[in-house]
Amino acid sequence: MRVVSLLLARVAKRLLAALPAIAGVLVLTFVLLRVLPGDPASLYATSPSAGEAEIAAIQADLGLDRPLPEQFWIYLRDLARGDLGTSLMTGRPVVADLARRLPASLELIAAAFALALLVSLPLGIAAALRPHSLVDLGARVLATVGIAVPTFVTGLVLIEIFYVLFGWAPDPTGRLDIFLIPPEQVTGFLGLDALIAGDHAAFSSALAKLVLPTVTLAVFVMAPMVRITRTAMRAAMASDFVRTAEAMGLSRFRVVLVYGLGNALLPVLTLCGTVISTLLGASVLVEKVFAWPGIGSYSVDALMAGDFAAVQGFVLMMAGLFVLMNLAIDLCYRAVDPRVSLA
Amino acid sequence: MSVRTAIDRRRSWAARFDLAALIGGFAVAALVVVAVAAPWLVPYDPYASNAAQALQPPSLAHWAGTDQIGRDVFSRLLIAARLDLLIAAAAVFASFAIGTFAGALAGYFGGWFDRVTGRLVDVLLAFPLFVLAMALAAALGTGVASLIVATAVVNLPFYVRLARAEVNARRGLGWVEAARLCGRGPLGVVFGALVPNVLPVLMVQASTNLAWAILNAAGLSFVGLGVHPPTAEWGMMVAEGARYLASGHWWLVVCPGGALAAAALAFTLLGDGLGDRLDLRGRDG
Repeated sequence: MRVVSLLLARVAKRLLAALPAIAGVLVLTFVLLRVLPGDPASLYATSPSAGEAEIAAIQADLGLDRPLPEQFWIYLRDLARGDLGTSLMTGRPVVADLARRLPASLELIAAAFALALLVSLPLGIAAALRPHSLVDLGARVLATVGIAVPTFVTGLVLIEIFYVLFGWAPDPTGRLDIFLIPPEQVTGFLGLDALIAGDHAAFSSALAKLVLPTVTLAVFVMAPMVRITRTAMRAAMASDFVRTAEAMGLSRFRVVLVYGLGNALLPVLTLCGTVISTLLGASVLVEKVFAWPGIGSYSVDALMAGDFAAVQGFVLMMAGLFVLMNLAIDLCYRAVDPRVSLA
Repeated sequence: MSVRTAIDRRRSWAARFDLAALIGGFAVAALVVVAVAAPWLVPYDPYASNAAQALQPPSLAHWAGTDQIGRDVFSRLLIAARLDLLIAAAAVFASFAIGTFAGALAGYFGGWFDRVTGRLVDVLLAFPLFVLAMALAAALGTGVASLIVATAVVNLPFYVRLARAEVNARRGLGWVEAARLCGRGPLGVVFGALVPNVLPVLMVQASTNLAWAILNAAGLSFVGLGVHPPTAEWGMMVAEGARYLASGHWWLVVCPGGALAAAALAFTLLGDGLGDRLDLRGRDG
């Protein structure tokens, strides 16, 4: 019980500390919306030849004729009610659009993050344990080349190789084969929904479609993760406590995983904030390449259509996600570092 | 200077530069030469279309093939190097100059200026970087200038933080006191004594940062927020080529994509090498 209340207190404290930044985010997104080129009212108008009177009426309806501070107040009030305005492209509330598309993005980002961890942690450890070996060289090459190739190029090259040339990958558009009927939406995560519905064809199609976008996104963040794991692991293995542990005759396995990795995890965890920022940003590009129906491709379409409410909603949602994920990382510190207390 | 110390110096110089950094340095130099000399190097007019020669694979006549309206891709790659390097260099220079200026003042004086810059940096860092760049580029309108500003603003927090931390850590050191005692004003101490001493660290950051700036600007162009056609820019060339990928025209993606990766790799290697060298110097004393 005590742990839970301490945990909640820490969450509250971190959220409170993030408040000024969140306020800044709100102001910045509001200002961005007002300075976006073009007049939203003329876009909402029924026809390009709409008269001045109609545009003025729409402006009044949208509150665009009021002074800026009042507009900001209206914006905050609508936001508090969960109203982000109506999308021009879909004619539906932006909140509903984002909520419908968010699971697709989260699915992709979570899968890529898991894959990046699964590859880069063992690779970084192996490279640190055998410096100047072939594994070490491979890790260094991956760490250098990985950040130099832009995500959208990686994605397109993977499509070229695995879809166009060999035909191993499914058609690289969307989350599900177009001839399959999507399972009933329960969680929004397609693989899970297919399992719940007991639809094996949909499950395997969803999984197959997820592979290339996940690999594309993961490769881009693997590089810094391998690099930092290798550096932190080398520092930990060269330390006195590891020498002591070895001298006391503990098994190699225990020394490496408990004393080495246990201490090397902290810098890796710190890097995760940057990695998640990169994942959220790069997911926009990956979604565009693979026509993935997430919030990233939604934002790109909205930008092209001059759909301001949708763009603003997307930017706010991304910033909100990022704040939440940083909070999660912060709480993980407690699990990894005994020196960080919850109080 | 005796012969002995000259030899020592040369050996230690060689030890400080590993092969990767040398390759990076040469590649960056070559890239700059290509960018500057591009108008005289191009074998064809990069903007001249030729419908009869559309979508030709790479050959001796067209080293990187031709695009959907018959323009020579190799010529476009060369001419695009100018724009891509210009955007990245201008953006990094802007965030370097402004960030160092603000960060150094914040680190030296502290107080309200430090708190205000700190808060502003927090706000910028509350967004995923590429999302913030997208929003800025969209708000400023498409074009080269807005690409530069968007990339520069997104990078700003890192220079502010770095310059602040480095200046703050040194402000009480002996040689700073000495500069103060020599009768220099506070601004003279900051920009005459402190900033020159933290510049190497910031330069390493800038070199690695150039790679990121190239990719960031190309990414913005790729989603349609960058330059307008028919301007040659690597990110937009990839975006245009992507439409012809499924029909087997791989060179339209691979060539500009490879150019992007090569440029980013060159700056990364150079930055890593400079960083290693800086570490060594610090250790030697």
